[in-house]
Amino acid sequence: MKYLTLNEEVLLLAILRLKGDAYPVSIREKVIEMTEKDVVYGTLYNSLDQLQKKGYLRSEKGDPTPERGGKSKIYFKLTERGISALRNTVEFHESIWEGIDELSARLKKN
Amino acid sequence: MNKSFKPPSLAEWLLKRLTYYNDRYYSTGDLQENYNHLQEDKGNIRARVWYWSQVLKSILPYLSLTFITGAIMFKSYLKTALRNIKRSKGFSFINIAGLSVGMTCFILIMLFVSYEFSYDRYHENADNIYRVVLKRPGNVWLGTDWWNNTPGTLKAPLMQDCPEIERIARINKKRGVFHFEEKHYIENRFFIVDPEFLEIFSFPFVAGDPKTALDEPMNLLLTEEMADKYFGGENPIGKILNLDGKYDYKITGILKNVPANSHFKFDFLAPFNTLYTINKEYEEWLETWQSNDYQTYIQIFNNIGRHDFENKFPVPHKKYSGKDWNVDIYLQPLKDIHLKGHMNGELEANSDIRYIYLFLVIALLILLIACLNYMNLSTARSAKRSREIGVRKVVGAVRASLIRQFIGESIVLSFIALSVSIIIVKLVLPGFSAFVERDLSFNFYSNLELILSLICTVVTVGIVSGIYPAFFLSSIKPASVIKSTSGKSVKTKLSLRNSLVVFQFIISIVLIFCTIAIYDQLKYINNKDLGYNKEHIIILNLQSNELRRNYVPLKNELLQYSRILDITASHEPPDYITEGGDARWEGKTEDDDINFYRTYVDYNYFDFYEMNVLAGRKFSKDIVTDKETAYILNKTAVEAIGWDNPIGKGFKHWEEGSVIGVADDFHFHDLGKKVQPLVIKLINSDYPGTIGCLSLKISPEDISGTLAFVENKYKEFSSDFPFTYSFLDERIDRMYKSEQRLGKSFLYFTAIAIFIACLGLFGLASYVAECKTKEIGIRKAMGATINNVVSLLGMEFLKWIILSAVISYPIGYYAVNEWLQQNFVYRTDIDLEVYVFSGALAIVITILSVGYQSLKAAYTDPVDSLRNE
Repeated sequence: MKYLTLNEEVLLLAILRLKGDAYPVSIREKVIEMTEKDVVYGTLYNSLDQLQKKGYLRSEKGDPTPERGGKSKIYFKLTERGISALRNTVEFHESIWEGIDELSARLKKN
Repeated sequence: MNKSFKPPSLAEWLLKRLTYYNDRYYSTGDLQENYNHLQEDKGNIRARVWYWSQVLKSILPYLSLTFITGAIMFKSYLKTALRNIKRSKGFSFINIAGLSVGMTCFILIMLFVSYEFSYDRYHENADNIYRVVLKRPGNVWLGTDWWNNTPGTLKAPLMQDCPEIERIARINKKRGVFHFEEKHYIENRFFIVDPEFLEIFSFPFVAGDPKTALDEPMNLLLTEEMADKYFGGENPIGKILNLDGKYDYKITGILKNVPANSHFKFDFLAPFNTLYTINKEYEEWLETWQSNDYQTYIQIFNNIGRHDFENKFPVPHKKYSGKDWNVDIYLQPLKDIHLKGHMNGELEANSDIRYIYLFLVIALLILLIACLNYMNLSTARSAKRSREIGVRKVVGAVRASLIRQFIGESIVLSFIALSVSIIIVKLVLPGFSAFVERDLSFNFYSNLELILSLICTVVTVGIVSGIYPAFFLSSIKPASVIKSTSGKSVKTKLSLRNSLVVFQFIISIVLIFCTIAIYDQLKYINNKDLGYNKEHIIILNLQSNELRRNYVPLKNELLQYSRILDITASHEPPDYITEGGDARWEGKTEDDDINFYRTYVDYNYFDFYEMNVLAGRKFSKDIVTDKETAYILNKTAVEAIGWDNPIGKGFKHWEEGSVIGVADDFHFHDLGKKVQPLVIKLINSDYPGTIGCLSLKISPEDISGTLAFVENKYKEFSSDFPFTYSFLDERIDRMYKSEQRLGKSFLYFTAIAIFIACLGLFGLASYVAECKTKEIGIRKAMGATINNVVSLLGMEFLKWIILSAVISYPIGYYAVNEWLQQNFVYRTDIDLEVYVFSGALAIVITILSVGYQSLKAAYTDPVDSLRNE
């Protein structure tokens, strides 16, 4: 079973949260909002490509708008595989955290 | 849409470049959208800065991805390339052989060239060091009016006049015999230098204190090599070396050997004030402006604008000396000396930058021939590969990726060729080093530059040779592959391939042409009547004054030996007379300004060398006054003066006297120089300076026996000075060493160029023969003879070779003529022979390389060639 890295997790969750409106500009904003760190487009594209190659994402071409200099938007959506990968990761997290109540309580305090 | 909405165009362009291969066409759109929002919120400048920073920061992620895909693709190129190499062994062999020979040649020449450019650069201050040189406009001596020997007294005024100068060092080259106990050797590389010499130049010490080593007169520094030669394993510091049995030098330091890439090399150094200790008169002599015995080197301060300083020169000599001489003082940068210094008084023979450029051009041309070969052969094979390309395209390859694949293939091939050529270079480097007389090395471990430049070469060669085939092959349409049979697509591009062959052969024929012409000139030099007899003559140097005074007894003793036929004494052998000056004569006017060369000869000199005396008489023992006052001039001198009847005219060159005879001109310089006016005087054993050597005419049998006899006799007369001799014809030969080397290098270049071109021709011929298999089969079935078929194939190439010969003749003529004009006053004409021979050679080579394929095709049974399909 393969698990997602933190970066991949963040990216997939951002796309999930954006529902139908996930294209690079909005994804980037969401990721920045979630992580409070700047993301460079170049890196973002690379990660999106990787996720697409792994089959977690698929892309759709939108309509070109003048605002974008006549370029189409590319919308990203999670595939079934992507969703199950996310689910796996959550379960995995829960399984490895299980029974460490004391620590998690102390962590939550801070 | 408002124009100001547009993001920075340069950044956008960069982004497009970066995303071109990743199909990220949409990314410009994303960035622009974001940019527009920012512009509205935070203003134009902030938005621009943001856009730029996004693009710049994205470079690395983009590139890393390209590298990864690049590496994956490279693996696939490698695989297909290797498959193709395996599949067509013959073609691959020809391609790799051609490329590796071309590269070998290129690498060797580049090693040589970069060595030539490395001269004197190892000095820490190399950029700030200049040599002071003099130009005497119009006063040509030995072919140039530049001199690098300067007066010893120039140092002080120069230092005073130019605050930019940090240090000045003078060099005075001496020779003599050094003694230590039983050992004694004659040494030519003994420099007397100012102590600043050690600070200006970077010659590291092995032992001794650099600060004080040259403080005292009669101190001596020597190189490691010399320390070993005289003292073996002992420590030489503090020991005494004796010079010429007169002066004791105390050794105060040992220096590392002078690197081979220096324009001067020394074995011994002594401080300048040694001169005064040796001879008091030096003090006075050094103060004069006539004392042109010294090389002067200056070092300027580090923070000086070089350009401004250089612009201060030339300075007229008068400014410092106050003398009304037509002399100017120039500076020559240290780094230029080896390649551009050809002056009177050079400490060592230098290279010529023109030859370096010539070699570079030839190296590039040979590499180009090899690339053209590759181009030619790979396009020729397009028919064979058209199916592969068609399938690739149908499966979905875009043109760009096909182009990359083909260029990748050619780069792989040139890498293979490089590895072959590295092995060849390793093998031939010792021979090559000996040929160019340089200590070249080819070492990867210490030389990152070398590795980088090799990789650059390979990639360039790969791209240059692959680019045309790549575009050509990738343009093949899948449909046409299915429609046409194999031969068709070839025909259309045949003209371009032919022009490549023509171009290759133009280069080859020009090289053949030049080689033949150079050898013609060398033959001309060899056969040219120099005006004196040069066969079977030994020149025996008389080095000590004692020997010179006693030359008559030595001569008489030597004449006892039956194989020594005749002996004469002279100041120098007749092949190279360098001394002289001006003279006075009856009727000389103010405007007459002639430089005379001068030599001193024995009574029998003219008979000995079989020189003609045109008028008057030779020197005679019976006439006592001949010894002091008789002058014989050569024909050129008389013509320069303008005398109709020179005999008896008053003449003065040092002593007052008169002309007693006119000698026919003989070549006392190389044939690059016109015969100059010459004054001939009698030697005088009272002035040993007038005697320098004995010429011995010997019979050609048992030369080694004769030499042994001469050596024994010589040693009876002189125990100190070693026995040195030379053969006159060899001395003359050596004057043309650089020409001979040029001839030889052209011979090699030509052989290599022809080899590569032939490989290409051979490959092309086999291809054409293959394409025409059916045609030939049908022709033969219809009754064509073998002759018909052979000429059918042969003519196809022969006409192109003839065309290239016609084009290359004017180029070759121009090149050779230029070379002859610049280097030789006495030269051969470029006769018909050269044209005919170079053309014929090209045709013969064509026939040989095409012939085999044609014959093979012609002898094929038509049944075999027509049976398929």
